[in-house]
Amino acid sequence: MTGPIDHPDASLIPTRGQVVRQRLDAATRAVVFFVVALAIIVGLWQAAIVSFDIKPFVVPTPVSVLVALNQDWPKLGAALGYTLRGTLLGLLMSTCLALVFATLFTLSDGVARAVMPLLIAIRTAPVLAIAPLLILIFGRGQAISIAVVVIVSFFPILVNATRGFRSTDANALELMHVCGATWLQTFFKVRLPFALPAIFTGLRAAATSGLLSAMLAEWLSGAPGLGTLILEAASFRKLPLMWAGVVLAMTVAFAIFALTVRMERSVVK
Amino acid sequence: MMTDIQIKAVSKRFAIDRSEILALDDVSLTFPAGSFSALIGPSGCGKSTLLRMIADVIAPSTGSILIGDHPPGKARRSHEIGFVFQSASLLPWRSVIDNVRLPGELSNKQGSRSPEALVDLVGLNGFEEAKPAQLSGGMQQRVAIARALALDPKVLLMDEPFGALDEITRQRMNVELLRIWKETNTTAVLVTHTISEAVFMADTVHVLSAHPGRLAASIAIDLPRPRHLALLQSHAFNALENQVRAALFAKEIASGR
Amino acid sequence: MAADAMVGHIGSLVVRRLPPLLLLVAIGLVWEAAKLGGLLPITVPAPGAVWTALIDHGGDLVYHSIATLGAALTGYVAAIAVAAALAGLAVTWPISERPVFTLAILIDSLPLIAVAPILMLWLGNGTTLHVIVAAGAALFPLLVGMIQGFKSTDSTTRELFHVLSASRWQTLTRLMLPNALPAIFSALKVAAPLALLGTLIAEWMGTDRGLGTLIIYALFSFNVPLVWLSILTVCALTAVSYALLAFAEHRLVDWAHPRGTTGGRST
Repeated sequence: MTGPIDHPDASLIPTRGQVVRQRLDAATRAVVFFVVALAIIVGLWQAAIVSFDIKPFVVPTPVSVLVALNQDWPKLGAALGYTLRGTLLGLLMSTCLALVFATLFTLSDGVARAVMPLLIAIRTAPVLAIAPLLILIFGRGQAISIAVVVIVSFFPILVNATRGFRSTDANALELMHVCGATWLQTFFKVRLPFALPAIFTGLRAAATSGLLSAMLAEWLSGAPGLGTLILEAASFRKLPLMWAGVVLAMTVAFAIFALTVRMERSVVK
Repeated sequence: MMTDIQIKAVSKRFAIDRSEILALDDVSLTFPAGSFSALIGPSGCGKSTLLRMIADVIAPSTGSILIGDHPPGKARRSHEIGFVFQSASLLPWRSVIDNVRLPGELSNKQGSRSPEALVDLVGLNGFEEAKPAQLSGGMQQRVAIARALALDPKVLLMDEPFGALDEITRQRMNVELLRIWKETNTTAVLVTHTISEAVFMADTVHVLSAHPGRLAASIAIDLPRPRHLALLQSHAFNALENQVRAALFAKEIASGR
Repeated sequence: MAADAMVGHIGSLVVRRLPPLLLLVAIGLVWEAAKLGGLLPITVPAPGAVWTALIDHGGDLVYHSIATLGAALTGYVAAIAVAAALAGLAVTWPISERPVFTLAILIDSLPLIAVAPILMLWLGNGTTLHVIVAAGAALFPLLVGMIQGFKSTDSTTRELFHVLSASRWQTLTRLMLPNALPAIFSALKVAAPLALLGTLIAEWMGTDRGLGTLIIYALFSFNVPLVWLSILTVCALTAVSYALLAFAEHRLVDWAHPRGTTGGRST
């Protein structure tokens, strides 16, 4: 009874070769876009300074920022490394922790339902505002910035992962039950695939706030990270250095963001 | 004053990606004034497309449609068309009565029946202030019918209105709908994929075939009105059902499948 | 009958609210005892000490809170206005949706702490800066919530409004806006604490009035109860904003959380 239109047209489904080509095209386009955008921004930046006669204390020239980037690289590189280590370690730890908890919640629907409102409430609280309290209690050092990153990024990942696990299609779970699948099989074949999009949504939200938390915690605790460097440069009016730090921080932010989007696309397909 | 609907040599092409699909191919039909017609056919035969063209939701590629003397656009703007969708599509933030009031609010016009009378007509007396989420699927569809009738439409177009309901509720709703149709004197067109529903409701059942959508047969249903559920068990009814079935599956029957 | 029901209602309210309150009191008592027993570090004050700080610094607290609240609220409202304008643009003119979204994502992924010093350089560290940073922090969830909300109308309902010959304005006010309200309220609830946080971060960069200033002052002068007090105040402010928004949502979008599911004769 069914005709050809009831089925998707086979010619519309791309072959493997086409998929690879599409991905390469997309990657090339992204790189070209980035380079062109950067060139345009730098060009406009320089042009604006020249044509509007903007004073260096308002916006320094790209050249002077590049010079600062080159001259102060030991300092900037060290700060960048410090911040990156804190951010990535914190994100890694909070992701693992959140996934463990979310998995535990799948064991008992009752616990999940009881805990969810509390989690959502904490998620909406400005967790970063208690960073000074943590510094007060636990002192200074890299551990504290990692702890702040973990605390800030833990809840978005947990909430999204829990939601993801709970969004699993009930019929699919029943099917696994009928097939006599073990808990682990059900988890890896049904629950995790269903939850992946939500987990990545959480991770993406956590990643951007993770960098901010690390920089902020470092600055509040006086640790030698990128946040401290930028704000100290600002207060000592070392503007090219400050701008170099800002450019680095933004580049890292975009890189982290692009990385999570990439991971999401490669897994959720 | 009742209104007929004339479909003259209507075709519809859809562009999907880069290929073009002929959804309806040269269909000509007349729905007489005050009649109840059913359109039945497999999915992809363009029956919903045809209904949406009558309602001026989409435009035909070629051919023309007349509702009385008006093209669909004019008929729509002068509120001659009532449309019931497969999903009730009620506004969840409005109560039953406020959903029925919606067409009047949007047009600043009033039908001959008050919203209260319409709610009464579809048998929802006492549920005026209920929110849609508190109603069952059948009740929601009753509200949708009341809303479609709010501005005294001359034609009532229904796109599988009971398709999402269970068999028992659907048959009750069919009887109700016939009563409402008789009371409101509209020209009704029902799109369905249930043979018994088409035969039970209509004066004429138009059978469409798919790929491309073409008119395969028009079968007159000469069963007396008012119709009751007992009719479903009669030989005359079954014979007509078989006639529709034969038209629907003509190709398969011919090839012995 | 009605009086009984009323008493029953109040009774159930008390029964529901009492355990958490008792728990809170119990935690406070245990905490106080632990502090007395010398079990807590010097950086964790007894609840009593925080209370004393509240009495001593109550005036300061109000003085600084007003500045912070004012900036956060202004930034919040500004962010709502900008998000509404951008969402309106993206929804009425679909070609612009992707650029608008990309721009919003770019802004959102910028670490505030890197942007704030530049803004500080241009605007000085005054209320303008605090408002802009607050607005920037709150913008993204608002924009996403609004666009999602406006786009969530289903196609059949839009067809219905077409068949009913509704004007664009009618479709916007009677269909799209009410339909978007649940998503908008979720966004409002997420964005409010972010606006406050943005203000705090801007204040931490150095200003002479605001809760952020108070926190930093207390932290650097090792006034432990005052650190706790000011941070608790921040938490209380966000809790109040959340409660207000939840109340407004409950009033305006009661249809999104129906309590009864079966039809009964309404009285």
